[in-house]
Amino acid sequence: MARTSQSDYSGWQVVIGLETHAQLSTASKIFSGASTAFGAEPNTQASVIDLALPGVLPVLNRGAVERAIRFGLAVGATIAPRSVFARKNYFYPDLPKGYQISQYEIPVVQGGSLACIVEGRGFEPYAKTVRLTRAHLEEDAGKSLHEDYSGMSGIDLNRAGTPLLEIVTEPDIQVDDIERAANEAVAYARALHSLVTWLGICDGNMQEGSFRCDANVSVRRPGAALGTRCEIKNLNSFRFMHQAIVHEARRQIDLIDAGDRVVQETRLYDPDRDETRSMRSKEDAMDYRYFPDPDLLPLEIDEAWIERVRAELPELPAAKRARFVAALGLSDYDAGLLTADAATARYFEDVIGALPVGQAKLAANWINGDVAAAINAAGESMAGCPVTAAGLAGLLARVVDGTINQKTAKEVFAVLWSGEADSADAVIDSRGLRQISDAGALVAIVEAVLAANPKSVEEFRAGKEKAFNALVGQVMKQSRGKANPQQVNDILREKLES
Amino acid sequence: MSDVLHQMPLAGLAKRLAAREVSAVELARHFLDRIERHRGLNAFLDIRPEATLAQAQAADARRSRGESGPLLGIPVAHKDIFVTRDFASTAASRMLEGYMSPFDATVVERLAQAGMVTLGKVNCDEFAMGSSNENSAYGAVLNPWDTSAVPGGSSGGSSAAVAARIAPVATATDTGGSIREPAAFCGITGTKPTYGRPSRWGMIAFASSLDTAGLMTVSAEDAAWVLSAMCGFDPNDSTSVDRPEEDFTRDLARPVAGLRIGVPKEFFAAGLQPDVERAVRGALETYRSMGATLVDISLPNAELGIPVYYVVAPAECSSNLSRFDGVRYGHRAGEYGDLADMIKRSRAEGFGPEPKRRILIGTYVLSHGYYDAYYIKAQQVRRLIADEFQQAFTRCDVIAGPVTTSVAFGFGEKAADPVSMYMSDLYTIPGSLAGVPSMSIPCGFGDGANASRPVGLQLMSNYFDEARLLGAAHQYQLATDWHRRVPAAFAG
Amino acid sequence: MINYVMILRIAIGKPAPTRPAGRPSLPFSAFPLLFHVRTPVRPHMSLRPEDVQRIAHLARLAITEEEAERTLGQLNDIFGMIERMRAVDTEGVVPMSHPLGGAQRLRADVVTDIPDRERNLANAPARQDGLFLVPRVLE
Repeated sequence: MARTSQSDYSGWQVVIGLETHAQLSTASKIFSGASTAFGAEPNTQASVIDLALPGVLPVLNRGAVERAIRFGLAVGATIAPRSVFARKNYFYPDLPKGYQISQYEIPVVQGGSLACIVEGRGFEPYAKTVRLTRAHLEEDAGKSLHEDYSGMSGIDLNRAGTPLLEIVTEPDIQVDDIERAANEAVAYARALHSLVTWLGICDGNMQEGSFRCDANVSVRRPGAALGTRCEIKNLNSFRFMHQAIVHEARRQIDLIDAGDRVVQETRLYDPDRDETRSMRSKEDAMDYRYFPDPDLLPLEIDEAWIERVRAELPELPAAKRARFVAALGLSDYDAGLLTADAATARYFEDVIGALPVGQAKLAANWINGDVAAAINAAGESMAGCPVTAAGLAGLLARVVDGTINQKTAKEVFAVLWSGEADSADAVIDSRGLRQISDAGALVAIVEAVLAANPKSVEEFRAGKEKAFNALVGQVMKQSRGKANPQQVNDILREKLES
Repeated sequence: MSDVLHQMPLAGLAKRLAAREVSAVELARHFLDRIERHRGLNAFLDIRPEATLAQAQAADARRSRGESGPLLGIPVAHKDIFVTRDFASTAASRMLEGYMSPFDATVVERLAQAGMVTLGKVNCDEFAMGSSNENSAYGAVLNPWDTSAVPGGSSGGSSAAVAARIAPVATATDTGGSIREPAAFCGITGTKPTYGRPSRWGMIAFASSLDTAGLMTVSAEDAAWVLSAMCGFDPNDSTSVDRPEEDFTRDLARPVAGLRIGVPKEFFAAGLQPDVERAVRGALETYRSMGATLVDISLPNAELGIPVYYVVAPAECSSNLSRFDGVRYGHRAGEYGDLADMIKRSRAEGFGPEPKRRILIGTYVLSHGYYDAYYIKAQQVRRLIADEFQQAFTRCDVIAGPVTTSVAFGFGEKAADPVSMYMSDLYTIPGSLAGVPSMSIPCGFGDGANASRPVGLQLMSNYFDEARLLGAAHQYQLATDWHRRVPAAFAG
Repeated sequence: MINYVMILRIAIGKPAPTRPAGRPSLPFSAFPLLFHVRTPVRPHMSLRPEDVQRIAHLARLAITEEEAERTLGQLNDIFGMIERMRAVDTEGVVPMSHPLGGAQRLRADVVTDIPDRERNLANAPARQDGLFLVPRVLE
């Protein structure tokens, strides 16, 4: 039934708005003093408040509010001087109170925008800015465990009451190409993920559910009124997000083409079958009976608090990227990679801080090259990089001062990565990897190579420049890679041209 | 000697305890015996003498370690709306039958810290919803003055226990009149402090923006002693008022000469029964004779309190009672189909008719399309009412009037007609909506067939002016003896 | 603050009617002065039995046809009473959601509560392995 060729979907515009739940990295819950740590035994981190036992009351965590302010300032939003917590009433066994405390009419963060770089196959990367509608504080629900417990489901309320910042965009992704629309959505989500982790307000762990995206997807003919939207949930990786949006847009177009209409509903993405399916709707989802929570007075945030948070705000990715280009002479591409997440940026800055001035390009090449490759191969993140910034700086310092060449440096890096040693100098000394820059020693090697390769010498003299490279290679081989390549070049040319 | 212990003011009991003429254990036993003797009143829902006596022993031990204090060793009964570790906490509902709380309400804890000994949990209307105690899932409490009359509600167990002198003091809660109305019906002193003064932590919530803990005592003086220990800032309740703790006894001796008493004309309009009006006007005369000035005031929107209340309170309660779903505690239906059916049946079986009725009203007024017309509107009128109190308090120090339109009515008289039952709180609801402190003190009895049914005088003051309010009540009680009357069957 | 209800009252200024004799229950009609001045009021749209069922479902209360029928009359009486409130002019009045106003007090982000699971689950109707058990939850 679904068409096989993407071109069949031309003539449609896909419109996407995103809602992201970012778990805030507080130590305690939003309304109780229980820990938010992930992975504890069931219900051992559910306090009497999280369990909604009779007689309990919520008290708001200042740390959650502070993180919301931090986010709002980073996206250029208005921090509401007065916002209100409301009750969203519905029944579900993992929602202990029978209502979720959330913000409805007056959220704490209003407006703002987020810039991102859209990348994908078949087009040049481009910049896109997505406007934010709002971001509001709310509490997470618990979990229903569907394994068989005597024929029943189990309810674990450890997650109940974990602070969330729900970040809602305008439907600003409006693209006449399904794949491209999905690319834009993913670009936004990546940029948001990068920002919240950068700001230290969310650990960004998508597997543990710390960063959850829902996409509101609709389709229309360009210029027509907005179509009926479906909310796609369970997008717990960027790849799934892309797939789910593509699938959902196609599903909606197929429906309309077949003369049906799209029904507004919540759909769940199933990555195993690459399809979305209608969720058994939380009944009465449309009538949440919101009203201001009488247990909580309005949240007031004064100018002094906002300014204090502003002062503590780290340099934001966009500013840092621009500075790397302007002050350090990096390419925009390199600067972009180095500011993709806070850990990488910090690593880079730590490395160049320990090197002589002017080595930013060298450090950038290494971090975006060998270090990134090793991290990717190991399935790690920068936070889990076994070579510390100091370790890498120690290695690069030996490249800068000529102790080793780039090739040897790769060998030393591999040793550092393996954990066998933690300083480049130790590896260089113990393995005798010091570059041979002693002219006498090099001349001896060069002469030996020339004597052993008369054919190459002849070819070079006949004008074949390629033969020169073969001779350099031989010298390097003889020196076990330790010869100073520039010196080898100079001596060799001198001998051949004399 | 012990035969008169239950007729003594708290200060007298404290003196005996301090002089070691009686121990906390002996005092507890005395009241436990009386509770046992008068089980017919149905005032208590849970009694555990071993727990009570253990607390009493602890109080005696504290005294022998040199501790003292006006409440050390004094027994208290707690309304079953407060959760307690040592006694079941049911809110007088089947829903919470046998429920044991893992923690104590702040009010309970504070009084325990002051050395008070818990006699047990007293009956009330289910989830504090009612004006007659007929809504208790465990049967109504009888009015000690006339067992054919209701004790009032929702704190009917608290008022009856104190009226029958089977507890020297009882905690209570007031959402729309649940302290003052039963205090009036049972001829005792009921005190509702300013909203936010006592903590709501551990009070099973009915309507969060109205629920206020308070006391049932024999006298205003007793109330002042206990209230001083009960109120105070609680970090667990973010609506708790952060003010220094107060000694509410400080104005007890202050004469009422010069006190301006506002008399709202709306509280004396149609519907007020002549015998109640006579007793209340008599009390006002007493105040005048003591040197107070009566000032005519008007609270024109106060009469809208009932419709406002019956939007706001059910709205909040419909949400507050959603946690009772049979999942984590409370009643779970024995038979059900799927999960949704389990929740629906558990709630249908666990809640009695009045909570269900209010849940339905509240669900409706909050539902889509009605929120502005009902809920927002009610909150706006609520402000008008609260503003009128502020205007009134520019002209007077306290406001006085009847607590109820009539003396206690008979069982079954209003049970079938919710609207007429809701009218019982006509004069108490405005103060609840505003959140001002108010009291009911005994000021006489009804006429004719009602000659044994007490009448209450309502006194209200501005926010945080409890000391003044209690002083005014105490001065009246120095001049009269209505509060010292004990129903004959319970005197000995 | 003069509103139109106050003006109405002044305009009508009816004397209190004779009080009912004895000690009757006090139905709504016993308060003519208190409530009859609240006209004109748009009559309350009466609830229908299916409304009661709908609300009961929203509130997750199982309710039989008979109960719905019985409740219907009571709810309509109550909403009839509430209707009086809706005639008040509240133009520009800020809703009062709390008696004392003011701002919300916050707590420091510190773990202060190590839950006692055994105690907290002691009242559970069904539990296993530290979990609350419920009939199968279908996603």
